[in-house]
Amino acid sequence: MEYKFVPSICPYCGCGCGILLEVVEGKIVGTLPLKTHPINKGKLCIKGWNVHEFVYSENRLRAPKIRKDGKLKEVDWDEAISYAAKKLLEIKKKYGPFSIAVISSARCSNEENFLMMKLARSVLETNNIDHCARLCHSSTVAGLIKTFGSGAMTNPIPHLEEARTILIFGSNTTEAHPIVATHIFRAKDKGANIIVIDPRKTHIARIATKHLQIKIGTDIVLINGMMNEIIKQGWEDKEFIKNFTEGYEEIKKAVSKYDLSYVAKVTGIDEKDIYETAYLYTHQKPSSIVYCLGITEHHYGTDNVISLANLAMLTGNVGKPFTGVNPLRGQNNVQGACDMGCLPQYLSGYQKVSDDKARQEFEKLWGKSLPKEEGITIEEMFTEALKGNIKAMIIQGENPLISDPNINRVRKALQNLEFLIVLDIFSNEMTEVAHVVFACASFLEKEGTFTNTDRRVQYFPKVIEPIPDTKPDWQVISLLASALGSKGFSYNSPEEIFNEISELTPIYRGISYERLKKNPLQWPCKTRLDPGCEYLHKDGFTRGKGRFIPVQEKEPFEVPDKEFPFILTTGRIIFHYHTATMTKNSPTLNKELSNVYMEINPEDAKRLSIEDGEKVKVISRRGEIEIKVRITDNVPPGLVYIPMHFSESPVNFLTSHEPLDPQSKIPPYKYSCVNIKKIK
Amino acid sequence: MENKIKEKIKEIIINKEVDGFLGLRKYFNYVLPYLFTEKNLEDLEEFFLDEVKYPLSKIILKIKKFYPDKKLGILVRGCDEKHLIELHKFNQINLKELYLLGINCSENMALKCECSSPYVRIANISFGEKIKGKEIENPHKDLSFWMEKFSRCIKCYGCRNICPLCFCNNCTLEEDLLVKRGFLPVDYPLFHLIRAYHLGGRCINCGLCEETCPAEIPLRKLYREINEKFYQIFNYKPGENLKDKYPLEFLEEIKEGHGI
Repeated sequence: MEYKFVPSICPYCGCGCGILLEVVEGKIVGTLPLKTHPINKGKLCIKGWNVHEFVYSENRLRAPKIRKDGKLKEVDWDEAISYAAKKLLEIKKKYGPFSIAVISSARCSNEENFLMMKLARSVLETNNIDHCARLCHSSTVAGLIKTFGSGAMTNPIPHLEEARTILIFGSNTTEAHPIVATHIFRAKDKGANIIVIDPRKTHIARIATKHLQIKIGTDIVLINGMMNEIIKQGWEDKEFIKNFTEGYEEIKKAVSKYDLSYVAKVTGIDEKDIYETAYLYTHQKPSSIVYCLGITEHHYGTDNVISLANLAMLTGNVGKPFTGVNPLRGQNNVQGACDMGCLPQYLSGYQKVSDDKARQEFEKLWGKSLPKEEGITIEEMFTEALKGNIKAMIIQGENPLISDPNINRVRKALQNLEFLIVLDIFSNEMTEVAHVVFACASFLEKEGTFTNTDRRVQYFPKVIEPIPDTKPDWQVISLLASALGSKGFSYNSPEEIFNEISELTPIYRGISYERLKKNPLQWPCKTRLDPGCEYLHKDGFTRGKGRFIPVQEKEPFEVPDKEFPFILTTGRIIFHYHTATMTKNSPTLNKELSNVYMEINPEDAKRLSIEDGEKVKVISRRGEIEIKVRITDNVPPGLVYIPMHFSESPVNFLTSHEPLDPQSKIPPYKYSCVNIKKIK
Repeated sequence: MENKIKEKIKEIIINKEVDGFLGLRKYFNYVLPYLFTEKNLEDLEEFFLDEVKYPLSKIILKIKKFYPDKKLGILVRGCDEKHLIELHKFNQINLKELYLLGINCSENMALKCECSSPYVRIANISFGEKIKGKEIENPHKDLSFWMEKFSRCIKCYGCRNICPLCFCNNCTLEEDLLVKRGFLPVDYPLFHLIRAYHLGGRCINCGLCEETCPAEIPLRKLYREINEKFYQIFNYKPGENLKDKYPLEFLEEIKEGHGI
């Protein structure tokens, strides 16, 4: 009788919930929530409850493949690795190291992201490494580093429970971070003010005590308006401003033109509601800000983030328990992938690649000199591929043919490559265009660590052996690096990789497998005795003084006109995850919802004579899709909404890859102009 | 007490009274359900008695499904035992084939669980002093209270998944004609009322559903309201007594000799 439960961490969103895998005779048969976990305490969403379902799917990749005569053929590992290495070396020699670009995976472990970073910088000798944080919270990292000095969620998830006022900006928390929403529900039950600022009547907006249905993209006007009102009324935290911040006079001046009547006109929110929100945020403390991609995914995303940071500093709602500026990170390990330096300008632990001293630490340990000029970001990689400057890419556990803006352009860019390596656990759109496909093991088939949205580094053990002929990513990267001639990749276990991470990364220095097996630890954790950091900026900001940075309202890059009269916005739904590579292979989730829809307001539907469930054509300047409609007042007239998950009608044929936010290079996913046509 | 329990578990495994014993184990800082067998007897060192509750009675059903010929033992508190009593009546498990090692709950635990009968009744052996529980008042709440709570539901199906007394092969909650699939907010109050009715005469008020609900819906209270009505009509309290017949059973008897 071999029947056991193995604790692990949910591989979907950034909540980082504890799960138990039920294993019978070496086979996973079920999932239970882990009762004693600090985040989820025995609760899960539907995805978490069904984690076990994708593992044995028929669609799993079961052997590496090489494209021969236009067709992918299964080969053995030796052949795949040596072929990939040979091609990469050829390209590197012919076009130089910066002709190669790497996208690592926020779904993979810290160890695997670190190795991908090491492969890029020390073996391929390029800083062209990035990952999908570019597309969701790069503006958070940029904005919060500039203002606070650290680009992560300031307070832990459980702190939300004790907040008395919570402002939720552009986050449909219930669907995108369900267990974070649990903590918000608890706060509500204790009498907290839950104020949601969102152009859509999302699930969390319906449960809120107040919903400010803001006109899409006008957040800066609202936040500047709130700050102006707070200063006018004398509600700012003068002590906090004096002791912990700089630049107050500038911000005061910068927001002075945002009086309530102007703000109400631009945002579409009643003056009374703006006043009340400013009042509650400053009077019923502790107050917390929670935000997500409605803030970050604009071409002024960093300015949006900065204005939230300004608001928190102005009112002293940061650096204390139950307060903070709390970005909800998307993937299970997107925080970790950032921490590991899978970013073109940073080594692990946000040490600048251009910083000689930091770089030398890595060079010393790795015995290689590393390139010091910054690399390029994801969207720039595709731009350069189109121009013919990027010749080869390695893309790990990422599906830009569904998830990146302007898919037509992404496809052209990928087709323009001489060589594309894809690492994945499933066949998907990416494996169809790859030259080499490495069949990887899922998180259940390897051990490692993930870092969730509240900087919590968590260990997960290997639950089952890898599916035959698949390998964990860390082994694939090591084999590839070795075939490329590197001697620095002879790891026997993920723990050895983690020890190297600790050695090179000050914010992880105190963390070890031995400690993580007992307890998750929140970074920064700098020594073996450091208990980790529950909340950031206690007794002063990471950068010294918190810096107020004035930001002004921005113009949209396109406005509704006769040709494209609707604004389209995108988002997540609870039943699926991102490009649905895993969730579409989970029968329970697929049974719950198997196809995509577009939300449209009843008024608009009536005007266009569209019925509920009817298939329509949606067109933007970038492309077009056909999609079924759901008629609902979730969206106001003039706004339509399409979830991002489905390959049947990928919304990213419509979204734009430009203009990029100049500070973070995030594309404007949340806003595009479209037209809707009946299909005859 | 813990040592005595460990000794007993060891004894019944070594004496081959059972092939496996389902209890709880401390694993680093976590507590997990764990099947102790002759092969892993040394893990009994980490056997753990804790206020953490897992659906052990549901898990034992699953183990039985995989290993129908094995003799199994299980750690039971009052609530686990009640689950098993009902599951026995519904022919989901044969109590005669199970070794029940009972724990009477501490006052602390009984208070925390708001339990009116925190003790075992039919276990093969029991540990701990039997204390009286406390009847908790269940003030009636109006519709707007419930509608606010139901509207939070994120349709995880956790209440059903965790419930030892949810064992149907086809679940009505997944019936498209009744509950629209793929929507949030979920079809409320339908979704919640369907489940509530199904638990009439079944729910033993263990609270696992409420603990697992990410939307913090006071499900236990809802099912208690249903079961109070059920008691008024049928004079039946689920889980209390192995000999009490489930109402549908005595309705069958009434039919005999009447009608056609």
